[in-house]
Amino acid sequence: MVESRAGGESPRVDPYSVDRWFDFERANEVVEAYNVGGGSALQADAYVARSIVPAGTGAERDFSYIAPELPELNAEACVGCMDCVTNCPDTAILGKAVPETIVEEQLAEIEDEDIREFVGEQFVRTTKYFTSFEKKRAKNPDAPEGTTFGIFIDPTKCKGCAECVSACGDHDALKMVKKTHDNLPRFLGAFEMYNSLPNTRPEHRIVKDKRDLMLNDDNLTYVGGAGSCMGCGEASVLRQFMAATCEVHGNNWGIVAATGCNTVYGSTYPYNPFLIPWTNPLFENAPADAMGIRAAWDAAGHENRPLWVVGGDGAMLDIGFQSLSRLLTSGMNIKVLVLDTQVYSNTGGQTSTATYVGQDAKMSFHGKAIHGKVEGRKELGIICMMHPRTYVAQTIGPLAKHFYNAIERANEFDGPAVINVFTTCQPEHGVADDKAFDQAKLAVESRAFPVFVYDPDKGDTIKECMSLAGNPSATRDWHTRIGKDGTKNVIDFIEWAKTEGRFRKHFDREGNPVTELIQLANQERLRNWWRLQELAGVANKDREEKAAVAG
Amino acid sequence: MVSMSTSGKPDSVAIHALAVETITAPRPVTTQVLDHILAQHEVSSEKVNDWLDAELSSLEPYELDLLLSPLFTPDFPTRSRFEPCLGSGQLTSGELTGLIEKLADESLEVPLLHEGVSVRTTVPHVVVDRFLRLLHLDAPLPEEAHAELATLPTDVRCLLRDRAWQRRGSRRVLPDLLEAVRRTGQDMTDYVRFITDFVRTHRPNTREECAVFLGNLAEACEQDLKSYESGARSFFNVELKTTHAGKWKPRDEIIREHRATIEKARALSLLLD
Repeated sequence: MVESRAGGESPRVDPYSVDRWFDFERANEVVEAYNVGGGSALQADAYVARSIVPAGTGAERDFSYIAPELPELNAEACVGCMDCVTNCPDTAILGKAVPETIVEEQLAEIEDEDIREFVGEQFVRTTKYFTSFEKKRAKNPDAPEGTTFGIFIDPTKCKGCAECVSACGDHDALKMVKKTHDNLPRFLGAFEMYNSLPNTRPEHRIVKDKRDLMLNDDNLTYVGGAGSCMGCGEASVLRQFMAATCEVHGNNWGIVAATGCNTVYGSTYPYNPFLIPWTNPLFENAPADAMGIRAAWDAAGHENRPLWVVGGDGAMLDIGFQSLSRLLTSGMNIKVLVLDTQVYSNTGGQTSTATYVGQDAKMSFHGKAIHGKVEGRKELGIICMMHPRTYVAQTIGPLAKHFYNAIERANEFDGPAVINVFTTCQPEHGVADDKAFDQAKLAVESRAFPVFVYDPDKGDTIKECMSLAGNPSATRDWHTRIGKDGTKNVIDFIEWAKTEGRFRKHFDREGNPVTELIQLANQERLRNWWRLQELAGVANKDREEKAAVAG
Repeated sequence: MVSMSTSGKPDSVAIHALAVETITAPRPVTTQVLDHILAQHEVSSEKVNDWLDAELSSLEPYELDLLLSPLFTPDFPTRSRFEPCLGSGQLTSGELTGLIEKLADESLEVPLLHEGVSVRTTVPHVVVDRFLRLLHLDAPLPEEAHAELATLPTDVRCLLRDRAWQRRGSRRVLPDLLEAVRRTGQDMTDYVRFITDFVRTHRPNTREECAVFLGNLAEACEQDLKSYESGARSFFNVELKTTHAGKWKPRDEIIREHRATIEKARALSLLLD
């Protein structure tokens, strides 16, 4: 292959050399040209000729002119839970736990007194990272010292969605503030300090708190700079899944990404947010493509190198369903991550088989006669369970441990695995930019999307292999939420649907359900929940009580 | 009911009593905490109450901090309730630590409400510590405001104990900002809340910087307001307001907030210019 750079000789290079794929010099040249609007003047090169976008170039993208607001940390309230870092879709908020002596040294390097003071205020002694370590050290001088914990915003990546504020919740350590010419330099200065600090050492992380995975810089292999919407639920999940896989396998693994939103916002040339090699086949054949790669890797002696397929519900439940089923039946060691937005998000919101009953999506809503989809939702998780020895988990990103456990187990499992994840799509779901975190949790609470795990190695029966852990009130029909003022609210499917614009046709201005279809949708979700309870061997007390009354 | 400190010094007895009252007030287990129990500690949903009853004591302090802190983060009204007990003074660092130790030694119990059951739980030391420190009982009122302390409403005094006013630059501009606030003739508490947020986020060091930074803030809001008012940004249907504790606000509310910010920033900027 000939490298077609401007003028001069054209040296022959090995197009398959990994080194060439990480030519950051050339990548920077291209990205800088695009950043100043000079992309069209660039000469074609080996990357473009081969449809390759260099890895991690998204890191060079600057969104600081986009977001009107930025999250501001109130360090004294921060407990170091890492939920904000975990749930950011853009790798724009990051944590660091380092010894105070190192922080002091780095602070001393900052010349501007104002910025130095501001940066210093981003650090806090938390019980998690400081006090508990120091207590152990008092008993054992060889134990690692306590560290100071800091949260930092990268204004070049932050789109201002405020998911981090939602995730922080009642810790009340983050809030959005208006970005101006006056405060932006301080945020940039603080992030410069973050970059100057060493990686959080493994011994300073809490092993059993999996949210600490993202304290390891090496796990941040989704670098941001993607063209995803503000608050995109998919992007947060991609970050989490990549961090969990990198924690065990480093960057020695690959992704086959079915065409969909993730491949579009992940490869808007020249910006590639992935530091892991990935390839994009057609909409419908990602599993088949992966089977070919798996076979080639195995033949080359890379049997233990993980291979993941990533796709949306359109790719996995509809167009590529046969291909997925074939993969699962093959028993090949391939993992599948389904980003279930219940709609074809990328192409403008057409109905998929994952679309809920009653949902207003293109091709399911017809004037005044039909207010939304009338077919039931296809339950991919249950279908996958019925394939030969397949590990299946249905989960959400905000339930971090549940999610991470599922990815971890899928990577360990020596066969096919499917992780089906509810992901919010703001424009198609009709929710605000900061709602991916809350709506995913509410989807679980309302039985719209129950979480479960099916591990075929756990026993001989479905009941033995299946767990509904993670669902609130798992032995009841619906969960009852108690508000801070003590008020009780039964969270059924209708309560969840009321909070999403895609179901707006079923409610009046006061939020009262007014259509028969939304009642049918409620029943459909309840029946799905009953089916899961039955499969998992969970007795439903509400049904038992009703049966007892009926005699 | 808490008595007012009449000596100008903190009334430690009243502070202790109010701390006990606020810490031990019944609290429902919120969704954030319930999800943490179900997912992080992998507790079966039907065993949450048993777990709260039996297992909390076996958790490490940092786990208790992560789990319970959302239930014990004092909001502004709670902080403000302590203001009368502080007088014009504040607790010393030693007094605050002493109070924390005393309350922790008392093994205070709080009823946690979940699925119709009240589980009495001893409030752990780490939780008492964080709660007390976030009340800012050790934060002095800025000297720059001492001359007019007697005339300041309770909520304003509480706002002036915010960490934002401990910064030297903020204290330097405080008299000018307070004077400008008075001259607006508007609700003082509302405006002092605004300038507290302003100095925390924009960190002016001089009167001149205040005027410029307030102008820039107003301009940033005005630009943002244009896109909201033009409808260019897609927002959730306002007819279907969420009833589920979200941070999300309808467009009307965002516009109202932006207008209020612009009004305050412009008014103060003009008075300081």
